[in-house]
Amino acid sequence: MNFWMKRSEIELGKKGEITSEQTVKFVLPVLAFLIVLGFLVYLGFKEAAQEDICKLSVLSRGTSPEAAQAAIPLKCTTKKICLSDGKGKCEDSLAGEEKIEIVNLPKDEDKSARLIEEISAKAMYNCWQMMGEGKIDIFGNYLISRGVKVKEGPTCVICSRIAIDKDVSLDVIKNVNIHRFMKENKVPNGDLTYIQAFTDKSVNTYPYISKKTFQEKIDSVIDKKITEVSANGREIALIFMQIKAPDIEKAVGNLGQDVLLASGGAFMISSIKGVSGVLSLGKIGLKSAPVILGGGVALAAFSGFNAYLGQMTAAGYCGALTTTSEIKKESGDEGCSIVQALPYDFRSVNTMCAEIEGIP
Amino acid sequence: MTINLDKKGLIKDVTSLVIAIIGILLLLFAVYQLYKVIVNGDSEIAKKTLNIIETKINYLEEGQTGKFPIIGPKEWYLVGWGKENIERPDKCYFDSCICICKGYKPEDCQGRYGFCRKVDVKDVKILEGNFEIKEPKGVPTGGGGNMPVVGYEYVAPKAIKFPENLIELQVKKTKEILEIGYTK
Repeated sequence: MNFWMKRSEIELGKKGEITSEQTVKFVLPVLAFLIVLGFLVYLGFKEAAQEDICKLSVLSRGTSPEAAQAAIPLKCTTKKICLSDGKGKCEDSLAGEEKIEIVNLPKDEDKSARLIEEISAKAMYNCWQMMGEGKIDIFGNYLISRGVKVKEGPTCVICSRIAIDKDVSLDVIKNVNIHRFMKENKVPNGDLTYIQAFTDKSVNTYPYISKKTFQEKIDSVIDKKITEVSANGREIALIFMQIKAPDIEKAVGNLGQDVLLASGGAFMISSIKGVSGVLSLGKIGLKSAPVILGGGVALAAFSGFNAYLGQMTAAGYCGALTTTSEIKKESGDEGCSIVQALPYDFRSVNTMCAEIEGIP
Repeated sequence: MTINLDKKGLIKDVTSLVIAIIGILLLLFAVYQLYKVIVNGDSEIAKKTLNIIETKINYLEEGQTGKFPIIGPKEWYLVGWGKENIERPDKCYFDSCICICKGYKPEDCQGRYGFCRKVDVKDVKILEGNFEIKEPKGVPTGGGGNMPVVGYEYVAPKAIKFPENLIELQVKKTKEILEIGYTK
């Protein structure tokens, strides 16, 4: 009834024909929409648009029916950030890469360190948010829908790569304190500190969970541990990893009794400055042996960088994932997701990631 | 709906029609762009990967060797042909080229699932390729009765198959030859 009333209110021309005015009224909003879309897709195909597209693909993957997922690739493009003293462009790491965001660090060493803290924490948080805070089953359904068995090792997305130009002093890097920054500063457009956003509102102190305890629990259901990862380059990758295992809940469920796990399955890993907080989500079928790169002089020369790498606290979530009934049958609906920094080196990354998705 | 035959009315109708057609075309264009954003995964990765490899090669000076980790489209191949290799895909025209394709044969690179970039050297060598296959090519000759079928032997070019995770490419550039190897 209502529909017909509205229909009668529509202004029609003398003999019912659609007038130019009405056509323009219809076309203008469409044009406006297209212009905005054009900006998004072409002109502004930068950070914000790329992140939105990534989020959209993650959500589509996580919520679409299994049959539709085969047609939804993850449209997450690795963001490349170069931290420079103003002269270099991180040629050693990012030469030839497209769309590099070059950040010129201030001359003041303290200010430079604070800026590195801010950029690193933001990149980590953005990665976590884009990937649905670890609660969406991003890879399981997709693999099944493509006729591939769910991987036994973690599947990863490289959210961003942060390179530090060779001319940036190691003293600056050594001065970086990401833990403090995450504790004292709020996430962009939010009221929570980084630490609260990664875990829950009530948490505001370190440590939440020790790397050793978490690793032992995970290893009990998955595989051997990786003890240390060190870099001999000046580039890190912020990587989101997710693994599904039917017994994961059993293994990590009692972490709460150790007064280490934040509520709701979210956690952060503490790490002592200079020691890597790298975690392994299991590496069944992957290359064995702990990854220890560099050594001797090389390691000493990059010890500042390793300290920075170790500062890149890991954050994660273990528990139920949003999934469909088909995947529940295959491998349960429990899983662990972690976002953490690794040296951007194929050995380090491959030891942690059985499969990598996304756009380089 | 009536058609106005008078001059004023005709202009009005034509204007509406033109605007509507433009609107529909733009809408179709937008839908296609969205389709490209949502779907088209492996081809996009292939193009991006090839662009990165091409720029890294161009960045190398003669006699230099570069190593870099890279992610390619899973199960696709990195192949290359010298300008004097008659088997190279038509896409390479008269130049040496490197390609990322869904298969490792020249014809695999010719279609929509193959992307090529020219390289300014005389020859391209893919080192430590993870396979070398011999398989029949062309129409088998001979045969009949008890005679065995004799086929042309086809030696596939060495190719690098992209794994599911990172691969480290090693590129050596000299004046004449571009050598590409890998570790994974």
